Amino acid sequence: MTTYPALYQFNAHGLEIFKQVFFNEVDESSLDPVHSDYVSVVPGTLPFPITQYPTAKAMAQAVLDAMGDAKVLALLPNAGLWAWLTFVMRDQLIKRAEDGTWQSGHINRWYPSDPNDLRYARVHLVRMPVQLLRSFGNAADHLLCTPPIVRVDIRLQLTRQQDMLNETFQRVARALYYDDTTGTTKRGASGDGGGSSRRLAEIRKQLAVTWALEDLTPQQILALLPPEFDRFKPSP
Amino acid sequence: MRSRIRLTGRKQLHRSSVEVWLRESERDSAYEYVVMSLANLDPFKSMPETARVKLTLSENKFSEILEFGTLGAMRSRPAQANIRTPEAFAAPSCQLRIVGADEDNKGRILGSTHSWNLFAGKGSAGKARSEGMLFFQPSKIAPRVWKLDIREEDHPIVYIDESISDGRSWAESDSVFAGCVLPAVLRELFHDILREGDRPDQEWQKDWLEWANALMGGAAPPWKEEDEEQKHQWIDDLIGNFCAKHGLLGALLRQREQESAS
Repeated sequence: MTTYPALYQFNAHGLEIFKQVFFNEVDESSLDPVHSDYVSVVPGTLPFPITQYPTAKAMAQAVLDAMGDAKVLALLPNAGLWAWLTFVMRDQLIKRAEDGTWQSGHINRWYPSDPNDLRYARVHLVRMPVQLLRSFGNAADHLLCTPPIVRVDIRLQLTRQQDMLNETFQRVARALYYDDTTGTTKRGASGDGGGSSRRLAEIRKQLAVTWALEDLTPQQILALLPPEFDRFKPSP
Repeated sequence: MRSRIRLTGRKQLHRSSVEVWLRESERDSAYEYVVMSLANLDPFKSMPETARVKLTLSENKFSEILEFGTLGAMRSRPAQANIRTPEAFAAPSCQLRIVGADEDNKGRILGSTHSWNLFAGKGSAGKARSEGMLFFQPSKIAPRVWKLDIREEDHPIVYIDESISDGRSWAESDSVFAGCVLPAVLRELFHDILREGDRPDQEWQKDWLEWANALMGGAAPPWKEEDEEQKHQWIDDLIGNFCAKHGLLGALLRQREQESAS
């Protein structure tokens, strides 16, 4: 286990090298994550112990615990911080090819976009789980119950639009798709079959034509869903 | 084909039934609050005084719902609502919703408008901008220089990264931008319009098709899904005609000559 004395943020030079690492242009050893040439401490943060996190929720909780007095929402645009977190947890987040090069995928999975550009902000491997846990707590269980490296279809589907990012809607989704006994999502929650999370995203748009969903309770919304969702609905 | 079937009992309101103004902060150019008044009381006559007035701002997949209080209160005076995340909005599209608050209609949308682009400025400046077909708007889109935002119900917007000083004027007047970016914008725009597979019913799309018709001398666009190659050719011809009509290559060469002479 590695413990950092605080959370750090890359400066412009550190960010540049960070990008080069995941574009496989320089070796990861080129970037020392605590050297003052590349980083500074994020004020108000606490020691950050890194373990092998079983789920994205556990990882997000560890980051939140280390944020101490710092205000999470104010830190969302801090690209240097989210890049630093990605770098120090890289082996849990990003796959390597057999030759050791990074298979990093879309840049915004590891390099933070503007947090208001939701199309890309939602794919970030650290910031989005932290933001979801901070905003919804256990109501985000269905979005954060897989290991941090796993690309989660249900998370992408249920964060596609900003107006899905409200607690009432996520409580509806949790009630449908999260299995409390196994700590995983239910079979059929992903994909595009009847009652799936992709369908929920579509049905939400249809319901929003008639209803101001932000004014309804999760139970009221569950009652409005068509029969294709019955197999996911919790027992009364 | 997009079509609208209204079976919900929700009343369709015209956007002219309200007046809406974005107000900028004195500290920076981000929008801080919105002021709204009822411009015409007739469309709201049948709605209860207790109904709540809401305005949804949306941009770049980010949205925020502003609450303006009850319809009854707004009948007599304008209302104001603060934007919690002003940094998220440069030129948001907005939609008015009137929402029931009584026991029998709580949460039900009683009336709503289509969405429309909301720009700052009351009176002629804002109105003139609302009447164009393509808007240029500074926004935080780095590392990109420009980005086209095609909206479902209103005219598209080309964002210019805010780090470019006076980006809107630059986009509207620079020959390199016109010669290199506008053809790409047109390609993306018409690819989206023709993808519908049939004549669209959105007003902004009709405006662009009318514009294209004038440039193409009446050569109708291919609509069928299987006409992919013909669509590509039609768009290519349109871009060629557009560049020729506006002399984009000549303007770019003249600009380069002037720059190298100075």
